[in-house]
Amino acid sequence: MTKLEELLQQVRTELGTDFVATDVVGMDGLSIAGGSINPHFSSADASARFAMVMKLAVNVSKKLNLGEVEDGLVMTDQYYILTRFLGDHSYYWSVTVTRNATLGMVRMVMNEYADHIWQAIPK
Amino acid sequence: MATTGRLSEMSLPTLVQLACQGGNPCKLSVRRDDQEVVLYFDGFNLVHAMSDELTGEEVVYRALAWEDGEFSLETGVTTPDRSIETPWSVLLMEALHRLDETRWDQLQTVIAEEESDMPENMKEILKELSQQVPGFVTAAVVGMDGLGIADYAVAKLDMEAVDAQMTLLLKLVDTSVNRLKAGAVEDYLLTTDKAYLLVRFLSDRKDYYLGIIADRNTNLGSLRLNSRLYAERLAKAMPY
Repeated sequence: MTKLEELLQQVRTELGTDFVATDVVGMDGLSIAGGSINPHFSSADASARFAMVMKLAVNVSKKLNLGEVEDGLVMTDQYYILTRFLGDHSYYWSVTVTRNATLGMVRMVMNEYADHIWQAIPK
Repeated sequence: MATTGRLSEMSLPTLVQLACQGGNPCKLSVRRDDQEVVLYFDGFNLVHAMSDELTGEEVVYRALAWEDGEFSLETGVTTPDRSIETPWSVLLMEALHRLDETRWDQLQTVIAEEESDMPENMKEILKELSQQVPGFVTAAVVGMDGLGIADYAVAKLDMEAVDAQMTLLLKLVDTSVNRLKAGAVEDYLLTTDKAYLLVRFLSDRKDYYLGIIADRNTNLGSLRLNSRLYAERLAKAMPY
């Protein structure tokens, strides 16, 4: 198991039964580590689609002069889908949890691990 | 207890408008000669219409042509059925096309008043929202066509650009989530190093949304809570 996979496994453990999926994704939309434990939630599809969302978010933020994008959070009636840029923004990290999760806790875990995950990406 | 009167004193379009704006279930009976129509209202809309022969929109169109008759408005009466899905403002517009020019002016005035009041009410609600959200920058009610119907800002902003860009983002998020079969989008929060941008649908119809931009000094929990509370209020202020 690579260092990156180890870190994602730790995140999964911290999030417990609310965990659904996590991926480290290049801005080409391809996941380099992670996956989904829910067969109804496609990690690969989510990675590709949210790469597009993150790119558009950057454009929107530029046009509205809102500053540099840090993260995005989608709330659906089933999930929280959190996405945040890593390091130099060449990758983003997504975490999907059920609506039973404590959102503040998930954000805290992501804050804690983001730098470590960026450091663990092979460059 | 019923409110009664004559259509010569209060026109049917005005009665429909009043009943819809109230939002509570009510029943409006209108009688002319030996004809009677009964309209039922619920949740800010006209939901059912019936006469001796017909049910649905056609009953409304016929009744709107009446210039005189007696009416009785009873609140708290729930509809026995639902035969109308068209928003009441659209029904009145359609009625305009079916009436002669004498009635045209009267109906047009009612609709114009409603249209001009609606964004004003929403602007007031958005202004109130601005006072609840620390670091508030702007808020807007925007259609999924990217056109705003009301906004309030404490800074000078190109609101057309804000509305269009927020819409693009929400559309892509909504499409992405739909394709992933990940449920129905309730809101989307974008965080930058300077600001939060939060967009939330006003209702399940997903045709309008509330967009809020606040600086990073805001309280995130309060921002999300207020977005939900005010989206519900704004949805009720919509003419459907």
